[in-house]
Amino acid sequence: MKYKDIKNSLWQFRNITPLEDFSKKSRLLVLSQSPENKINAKDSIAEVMTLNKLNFFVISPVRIASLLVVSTGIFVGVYYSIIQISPFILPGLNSDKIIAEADMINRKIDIEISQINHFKDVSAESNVVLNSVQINSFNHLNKLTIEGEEEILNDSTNTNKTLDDEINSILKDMSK
Amino acid sequence: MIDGIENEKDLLRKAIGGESSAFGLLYDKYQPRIYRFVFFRVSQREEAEDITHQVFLNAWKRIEYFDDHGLPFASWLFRIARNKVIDHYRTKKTTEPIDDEFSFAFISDNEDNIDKKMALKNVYSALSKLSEDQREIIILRFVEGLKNKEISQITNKNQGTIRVLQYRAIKNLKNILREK
Repeated sequence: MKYKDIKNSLWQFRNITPLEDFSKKSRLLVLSQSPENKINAKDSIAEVMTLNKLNFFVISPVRIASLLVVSTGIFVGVYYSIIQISPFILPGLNSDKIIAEADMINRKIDIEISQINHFKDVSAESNVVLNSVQINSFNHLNKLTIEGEEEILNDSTNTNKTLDDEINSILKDMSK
Repeated sequence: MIDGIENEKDLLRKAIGGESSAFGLLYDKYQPRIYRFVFFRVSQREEAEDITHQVFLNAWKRIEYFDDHGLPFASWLFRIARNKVIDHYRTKKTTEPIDDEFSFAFISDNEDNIDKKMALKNVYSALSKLSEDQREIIILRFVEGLKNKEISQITNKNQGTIRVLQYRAIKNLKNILREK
């Protein structure tokens, strides 16, 4: 069989048609149904949400109201969230007060630093003194200090000569 | 009777607007074609009638969702029919032979036509031995006379694939008929 004959035979198949009775009944049944509306209130929520049925150019009052409620809820939630986490919009925030408090803190810190430095100096001097007391030789002692101490010792021996004599006589008697 | 593209567009517009009489005229035009397409896929008259009825019921109910941007109304109908046939195959696979008396009743029984009837039966028999894809292409291209672009839109295959399938289908048909 040639290609041409095959094509002719296939073309002949266009004469195959449905029974007339079936066609009439089917037509009546089909047209007796009503087509689905894109904005049909009876549609299930799942069908309404499919992309095919979404009609962005027809907005019902119910949709507008629900949209407003949802957007208001979102706005309020975001607003309060921002208030909780943002330091820049805390109520009662006074920048001058904060600056004053900061200055006070700085001053306190300065005072403490100066005190630390003072004690540091004192500590250093104390170390020097303690070291000088521990050393046996007196080479480092101040000459004037030594003379002063000698005077004190001399003064103490001269002022009580009578008493010393009495003590010496007593000691003499005791040694007999 | 529908004449011309403009007239069909006008009918479509009215049908989408809800006019059942407009859709009725479209039904009259396309119902035989859809029936044939389905019949060659399922090979049983009753099943072909059921599926064809479902196709137009579905099309009328969802007529508002038809968007003709790039997809002709005929292609849309064939696409619905194709999906219905696929659903049919999922639930029920039948390989019963066709009703000979019915299918070739359009050929009168005189001597000249006996050979013609026999040739048609042979071609039909060879057609049933093709793969589903090849048979579908042959029906759409050579029985319904659709162009490759329309077949591509119906089957979601690119036109290159359509051409290859078409070539192989015709070649296979010839080989099968040569063996008879």
